[in-house]
Amino acid sequence: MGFFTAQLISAIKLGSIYALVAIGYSIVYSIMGMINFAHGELLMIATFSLWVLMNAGIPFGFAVILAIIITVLFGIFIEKIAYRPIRNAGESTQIITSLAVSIFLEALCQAIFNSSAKALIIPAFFSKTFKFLGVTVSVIDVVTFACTVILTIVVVLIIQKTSVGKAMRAVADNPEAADLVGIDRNRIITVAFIIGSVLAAVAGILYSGKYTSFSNDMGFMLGVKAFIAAVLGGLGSLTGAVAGGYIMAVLEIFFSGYLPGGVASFQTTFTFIVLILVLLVRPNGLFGSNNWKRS
Amino acid sequence: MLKVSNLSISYKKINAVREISFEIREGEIVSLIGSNGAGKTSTMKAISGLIKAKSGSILFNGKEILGMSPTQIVSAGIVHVPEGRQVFSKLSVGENLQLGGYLTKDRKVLKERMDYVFDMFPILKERIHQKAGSLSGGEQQMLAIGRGLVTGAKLLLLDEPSLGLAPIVVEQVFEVIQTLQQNGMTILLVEQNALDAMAISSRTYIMESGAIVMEGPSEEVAENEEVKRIYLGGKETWVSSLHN
Repeated sequence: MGFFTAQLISAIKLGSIYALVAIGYSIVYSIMGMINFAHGELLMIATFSLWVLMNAGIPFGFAVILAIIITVLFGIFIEKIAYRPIRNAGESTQIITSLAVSIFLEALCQAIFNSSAKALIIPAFFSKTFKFLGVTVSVIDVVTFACTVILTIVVVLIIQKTSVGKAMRAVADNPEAADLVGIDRNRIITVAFIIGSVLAAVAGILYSGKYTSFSNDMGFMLGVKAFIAAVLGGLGSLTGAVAGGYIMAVLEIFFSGYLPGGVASFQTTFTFIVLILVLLVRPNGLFGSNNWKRS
Repeated sequence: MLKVSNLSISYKKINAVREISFEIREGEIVSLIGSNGAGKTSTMKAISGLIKAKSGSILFNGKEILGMSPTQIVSAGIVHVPEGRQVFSKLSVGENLQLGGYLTKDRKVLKERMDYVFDMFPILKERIHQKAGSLSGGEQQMLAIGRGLVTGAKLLLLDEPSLGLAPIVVEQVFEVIQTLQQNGMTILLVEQNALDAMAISSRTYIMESGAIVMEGPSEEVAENEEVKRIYLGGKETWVSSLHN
């Protein structure tokens, strides 16, 4: 029982990170019809920004806020210079461009900071532990879960209730009709990148804060897994992105925990096999509608 | 109110619209008719800024709007209600209408416009919480027009509003268009349903292969033998039968 609870809590921690990142993929996809493979790199940008700022002696709380702002600026900048010019260039061009941006950012980071692992020292308060249902949990785990719940609720409220949120749904639903009521699509796309970047920055900082060690390739695998989580949930669906993130983490953690020793390290392989099976049955993901595909 | 001069539009190498000129005066309904591919929709899209024109000029109340973004054109007071309705199908009827007022910051004005739309289309008020995609074709057309009205436009571009609707609903749509005109709206009407369009409009332009081939007061154009032969096929529709 104790082992199961511990596994479940691990899955919730990891799933929270995946969910935060997956929402970003999903929002940008629904607004632009494009998969931004450079999204994972925003986690790297947030972590490195925080690290540089803290090394410069800026207090933790302030540095976190600045790191989030820097990540958002990067997100806006990437869309403006790399994606806007190829907005109407077709899916394959967009995918290749976003992969190029991803590789470029990772390489740029390596060129500046080299590829060795760095240590992120966050205030000791966050690594304090306590017992919860017989399992040792640290403060940062609780903060991670709380951030995910709060940010998800905030994003849902923005999208459902605010004028800009309605405009976002309108653009996702029918871009041309959105133009015709006077919605400035560039502005809405910028908003989508801002939301995605904030979530990615928070996820990056929480992830590096938890594992304390990070390097320039941290965004890649996390980004790919979160992307798959978004696809599993149904690209374009917020519920799907969150559910996909947690399902993904549960599979990974439980495969790793319950498979026999020899194959347990293949947990990711097993996870992907399950996901492929799910997508065979539901090609649009668990929460995806069948009319998301754009022309 | 709207003055289009020497407008040319091309897609890749094909000239979709060649040097057309026409004019819409305040308070009138002007119909633009012609066969499929004549360039009617391209012309509308150029006016609303959805596509770029190759050359020419479009003056709205004396101001050049060619080259403006769709957002600026909506702010200027022109709204395009596109072919095939194009409502936001996953959003509610109420949200669709609110989005018509996206650029309207004054809540009181917005409320007045919404009330005007609900007065004109009571069915939309009944269905306010329903998803737009669940409405019938006729209701979606009412919603698309209603959403256009909430923008506060002075000039309404209606692209094939009767397309794919049942005859009884077509009748309602044409009645709505006439009511809007009586309330002071200026309308450019693109229609396949040539006879009905001419019956409610004061002037008609006929487009063929990207050029305007005939223009004049609607009753004169409708009497033209060539027009009768090509567009009307001798058929009578409800509006023409009323006029007899």
